Amino acid sequence: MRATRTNTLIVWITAAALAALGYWHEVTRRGLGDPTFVTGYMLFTLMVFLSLYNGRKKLSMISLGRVSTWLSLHVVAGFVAVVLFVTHAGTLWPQGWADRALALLFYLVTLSGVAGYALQLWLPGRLTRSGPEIIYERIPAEIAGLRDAAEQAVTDAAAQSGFDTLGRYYVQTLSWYFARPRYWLSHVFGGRYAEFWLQRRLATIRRHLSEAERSALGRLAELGAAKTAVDAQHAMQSVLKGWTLIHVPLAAALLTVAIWHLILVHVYAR
Amino acid sequence: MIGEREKFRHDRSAYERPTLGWRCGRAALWRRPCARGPSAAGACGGVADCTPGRQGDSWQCRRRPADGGPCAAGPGSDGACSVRHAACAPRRSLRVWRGRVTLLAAGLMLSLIAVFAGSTDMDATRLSSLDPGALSAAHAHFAGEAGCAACHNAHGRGVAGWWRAFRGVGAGDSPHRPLAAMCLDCHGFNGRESLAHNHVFEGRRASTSTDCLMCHTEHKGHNAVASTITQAQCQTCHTRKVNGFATDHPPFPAGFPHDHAQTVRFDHVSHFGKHFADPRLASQVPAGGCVGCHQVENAGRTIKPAGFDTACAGCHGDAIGRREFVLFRWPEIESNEISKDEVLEACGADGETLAELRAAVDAARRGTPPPAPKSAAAFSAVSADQPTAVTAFLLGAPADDAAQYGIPVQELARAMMRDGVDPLMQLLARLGPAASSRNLLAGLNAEQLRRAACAWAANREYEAPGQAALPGWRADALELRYAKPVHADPALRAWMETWAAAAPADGADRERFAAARKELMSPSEGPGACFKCHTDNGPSDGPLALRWHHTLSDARPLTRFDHRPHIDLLGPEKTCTTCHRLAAVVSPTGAAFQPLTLDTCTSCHAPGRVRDDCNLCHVYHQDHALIKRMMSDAK
Repeated sequence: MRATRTNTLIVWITAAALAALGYWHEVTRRGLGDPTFVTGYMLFTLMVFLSLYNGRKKLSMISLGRVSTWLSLHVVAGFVAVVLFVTHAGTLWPQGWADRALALLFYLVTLSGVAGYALQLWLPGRLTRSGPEIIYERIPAEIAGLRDAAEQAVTDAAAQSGFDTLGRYYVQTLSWYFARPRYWLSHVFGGRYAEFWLQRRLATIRRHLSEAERSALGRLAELGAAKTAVDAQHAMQSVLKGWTLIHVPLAAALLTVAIWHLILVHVYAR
Repeated sequence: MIGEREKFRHDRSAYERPTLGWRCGRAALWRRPCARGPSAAGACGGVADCTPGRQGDSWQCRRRPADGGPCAAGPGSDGACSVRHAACAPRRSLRVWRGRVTLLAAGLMLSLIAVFAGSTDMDATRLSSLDPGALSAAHAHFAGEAGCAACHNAHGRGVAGWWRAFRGVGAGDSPHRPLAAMCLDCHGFNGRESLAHNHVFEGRRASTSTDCLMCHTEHKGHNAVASTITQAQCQTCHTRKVNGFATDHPPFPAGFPHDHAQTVRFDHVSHFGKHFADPRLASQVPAGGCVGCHQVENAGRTIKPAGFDTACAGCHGDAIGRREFVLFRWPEIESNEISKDEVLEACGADGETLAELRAAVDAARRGTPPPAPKSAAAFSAVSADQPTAVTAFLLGAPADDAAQYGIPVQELARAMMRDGVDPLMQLLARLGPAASSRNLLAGLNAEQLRRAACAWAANREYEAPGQAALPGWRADALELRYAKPVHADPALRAWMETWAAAAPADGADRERFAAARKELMSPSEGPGACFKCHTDNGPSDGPLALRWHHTLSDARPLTRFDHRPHIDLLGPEKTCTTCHRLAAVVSPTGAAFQPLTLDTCTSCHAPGRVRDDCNLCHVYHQDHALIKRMMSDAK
């Protein structure tokens, strides 16, 4: 409830600020004034503020406000930055290599930001629905544990039944699945390819197994389902973490070119 | 495994370190990671299960409960853990990779900026980190070798120049010239560039100063318009709201647009109403009505007439030649101050003198007394006229008092009789230095003038050999005149311009000068009758500006109009009379047409029809022009 109130407040303040900015820009432009210096500096300040969000996440030990509030501010400031950019540039695709590079980087950062925000709205719900959530850093241990359990079940079945059918099948087929996360793309987009693959493989061997081995096969099915859930967690969390590998470096490149643009403007445009 | 809550207990679960720069190498290979993880320096922390602690004289195993608790073998005597594993190769964490890629991206941008900063030139196809976009077509070819520095003062001046520019235009001793000042190296206006419309408007003296960059932008592409001022921007200063030309524009002034002074007079009313309707002149009337005289193919703001030879000479060609310029006239004199001997000495014996000498010789042979010479009889002047006003001014004597001008006139005749043109040239110096430089007497035959002066000194008329056939100076009878002038005659034009530019200060001279100027520039009687059509501008006794050509009045420097699209739309036959309707009489200002009203324009220029915004007819700058120095420097 508190977060909703805060977000509503941010949106209203932003809308009012944008309306005031639009009015001021039009009055200044009609008055033959030059609003580009002011809008340019506002945009640059906003870019610096947007980049502070990354720093805020690293300074989790200091009380700098709630991260959710920071995220809301980051999203709204990003939207304002787009409006300011178009207002400042006066066009969607400026002239000149320097300005075009700046515009291209701005659009890439915006697109990656929008994509990231969309992922943050979309994937957490799916993470919750896909099963118990696992800390990303613990996923390798989780997979190792499942693999150990699967191998233990196969070994026990061979010892009890005296047959090595399931063991050889595990080594030749199923061990590939338990070795590491599989079907990353399918999991990202909510596909069930891994589940079908596993069921098909288990169904294929079932008719050839003894009673004792069938019991172990049931255990393998449970472990395989758990592995599928872990893989889904891994795929979605890696996307949530990995998109910043695009967004943050692009933002740094944008900030660098923006500083160069600022210098050029002060040297050449006055 | 999943769902095992105890895995998150402090004594059961591993302590994850996502903010550290390393992660376990075993985990990277999807194997079970060790509980301790890599050190901050990146060394494997899983070589031993624990780090035994010393307790008294012995070592105690400190393996975590999650890993099975204290081992059975326990630490060795040297305190080393007895459970050893092969070391892994820790990997960098995602956070480190993100930092590295971020630094790489920023560094790459800096490198690209640095590499391409040196390749700046005016070629838009080359990559440059200084490239702000292509120049407009108007400026693209003017930068020349100076390149960016033609407009940007800091360009090519190194770090110091950039720093001065960065500090701003008002920074103390900074020699940095602002961008707007660089514009004025090439662009000039008829008025201060920092004033609105380059003009001081009465009642608006407190107007805010302006700057080129308020309206003009560059580097927006080859086809971009450097100025994009809108109607709304006009109304920042022009507080009268104009939402539409038809509804809100103030009425045109009385007499618009014909209320300006004409540089070449032409009475449209009498020509169209009387002369062109005269059947006797039908063959000489220019065909096609208005376009018979006006060059519609060169239509612009004005449609200039075709010129004298095409439009006027048919009827008025001979009138110019009939009005000759009499520079000197031998006037009536009361007494002859030049002796016969002087004339005989300077000019030699003429026919009359030779006859007297022959009579005296014959009388001597016969032994009779010689006949009495004619000169002994009472003096009777050969001329009964006054000197011209021009001669009177040059001699500094009144033209209506023979007692005063008699001596100077004869002095001039005596001098011309001896030296030809030179004495006249010396007199012309009174008109100022321009008179001698213009060579006003070019083509005057000095010997003819000397012989004429001899005749006048001898109180006789000069008999010129033959008749004048071409324009030029000619002495004949009692006058020195410029005969048979033609239109745009360079000699007559030089005289007019010299006389227009001169302005003597002395009181008596001023009156004689004004009389001479009036005689020269008389529309009806003046030489060539130049000022029947051509006009002048200035005080009657001061320097005048002569208007030889049909030029546009500068009465409305902030207004523009183009006849061409109107003619193209309506056709030359209908266009002229649609707007220019002949008046019944010529107005005191010389306007021969009825004034235009807003209705004339709003029939087409209205919303939904033809453009009707301010910028269509009004311009911002007053007489904008490129400075000629720039053109010469560019060569």
